[in-house]
Amino acid sequence: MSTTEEKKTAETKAAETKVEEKPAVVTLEEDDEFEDFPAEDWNDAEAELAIPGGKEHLWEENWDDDDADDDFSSQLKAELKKASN
Amino acid sequence: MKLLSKLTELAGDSVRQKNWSGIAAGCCLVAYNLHVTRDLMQAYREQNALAQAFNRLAEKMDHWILPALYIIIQELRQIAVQADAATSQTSPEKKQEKKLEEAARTINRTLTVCLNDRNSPLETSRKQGIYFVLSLLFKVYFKLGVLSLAKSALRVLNSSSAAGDVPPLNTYPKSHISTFKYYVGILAFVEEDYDRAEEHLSTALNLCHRKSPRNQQRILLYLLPVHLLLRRQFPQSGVWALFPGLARLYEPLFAAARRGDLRSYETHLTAREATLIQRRIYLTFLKIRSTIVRTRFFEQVYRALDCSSRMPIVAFKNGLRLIGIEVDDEQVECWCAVMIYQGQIKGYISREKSIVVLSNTDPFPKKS
Repeated sequence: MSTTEEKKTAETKAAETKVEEKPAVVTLEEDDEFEDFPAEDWNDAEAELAIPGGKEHLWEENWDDDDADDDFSSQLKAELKKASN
Repeated sequence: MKLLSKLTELAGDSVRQKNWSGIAAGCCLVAYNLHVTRDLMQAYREQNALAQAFNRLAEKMDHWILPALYIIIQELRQIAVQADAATSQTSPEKKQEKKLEEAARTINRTLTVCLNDRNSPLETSRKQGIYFVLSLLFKVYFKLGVLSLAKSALRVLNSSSAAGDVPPLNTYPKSHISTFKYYVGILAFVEEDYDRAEEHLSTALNLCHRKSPRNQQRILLYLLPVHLLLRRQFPQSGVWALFPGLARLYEPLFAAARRGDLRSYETHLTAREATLIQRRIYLTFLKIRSTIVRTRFFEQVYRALDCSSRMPIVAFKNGLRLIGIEVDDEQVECWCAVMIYQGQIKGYISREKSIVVLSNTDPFPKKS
C-alpha cells in the first residue's frame, strides 16, 4: 500500500486516517470478537495487507536449510563433534 | 406520561398487527429508556420486543428491509451485552439467564426469516442477509462461549445451501463474507480440522479491508500457527513489524521452531501458556512441537553429524542432553517412530543396531 494512497484518503477523511496511519499501535485484543468494517463492500484493491509486497507475499519463500547456520546449529555441531570424539 | 403509555400500547399492537406505527413507537421507547430513565433492563426488553415485532414484519418484505433489520439486531446485541454487564456488577451472585442468551434466540429467529424467503427471486431475496445475520449470531455465541450452538447454526445454513437455496458466496459483500469466514475458520480450528481452518481463514484475510488491521491481526492469530503446522512455512518479517502484539506472542516461538531449538520453544511456550489456552491455540502449539520443532531438531543433529544416513539413537539423545532435555533411548525411539509414521522423516528404525536409517534422498521432506 503506497503512502500516496494513504495521503489521498487523509485529505477526505482526515480524522479517520490519522489513527490508521500508525498500524504500529495495534496491540493484541482482549477477545477474538471481529470488529465492524468501515464499509459494507469494497473493491479488491482495498482488500490489502500493509506488508512489503502485499498479501500475496505473506509467507516467506521456502527457506533453505543451508541458511540455518545460526548460533544454535553451529553450537550444536561443535558440541556433538566434541562428544563423538 | 400519557405519551409513554400511548407508545407502549402502540408497540404492543405492532406484535399482533405488524404495523409500522408500533415499530416507530418501539424505537422511541428504547431511546427513552436508554437516555431519559437510563434503565438498561427496560431498554433491553423494549429492544427485544421491537426486534421480535420487526422479525414478523420482515417476513412480508423482500431485501429492502435488510439494512433496518441489521441495525435492530446489532443494537439488540449491544444493549443485551450492556444490560448483562450492569447486572453482573450490581448482583454478581444472582444466577439468572443472561439477556444475551435471550437475544440470541431473537437473532436466530432473524436468521430463519432471512433463510425462509420463498417468494422473492434471488436478486431481491432476504437471503442476501444470511451471512450478515449468521455472523452476528456467531459473535453472540462466541461471547457466550457456546460454540456448539454456533456449529448447529452453521449446519442449518449448510443444509440450505446444499439444497441450492442460498446464492453463491461471491455475490455477497466482502464485509459479510470476511466476518463469516473468520468465525467458521475458528470453528474448524477448534475442531482440529486444520485444512478447512486454513482455507476459511485465508479467504477471510484475502477479503479483509486494509483499514481494519485489528481484524487482520485476529485472523492471523489463528492462520499463522495453522500454516506453520500444515506447510512448515513462516510469515515474512513485515508481518511482525506490522503487528507488534502478534510479534510479542509468536515471534520467539516461531524463531525457536525454525531453529529446531526445542529448549527455547519450551520456555516461550510455558511463558505464553495462559494466553494461548484462553485463545484455544495452545493445543496447536503442542502439535507444532511434536511435528515441526522436534523434526527440525533431529534434522539439525543429522546435519551436525555430516548428514550420515545411519544415525545412532544415542546421537539424538546426546543432542537433546546438550540443550538440557534428559530423555532415555526409548523416548527418542518413540519420537522417531512418530515422525516416521507422520511422514516428517523418511527412513526406519533398526532396533538391534539402535540406529535410525535415513533415506538417502530428502530424509526430512518439506511439504509445500
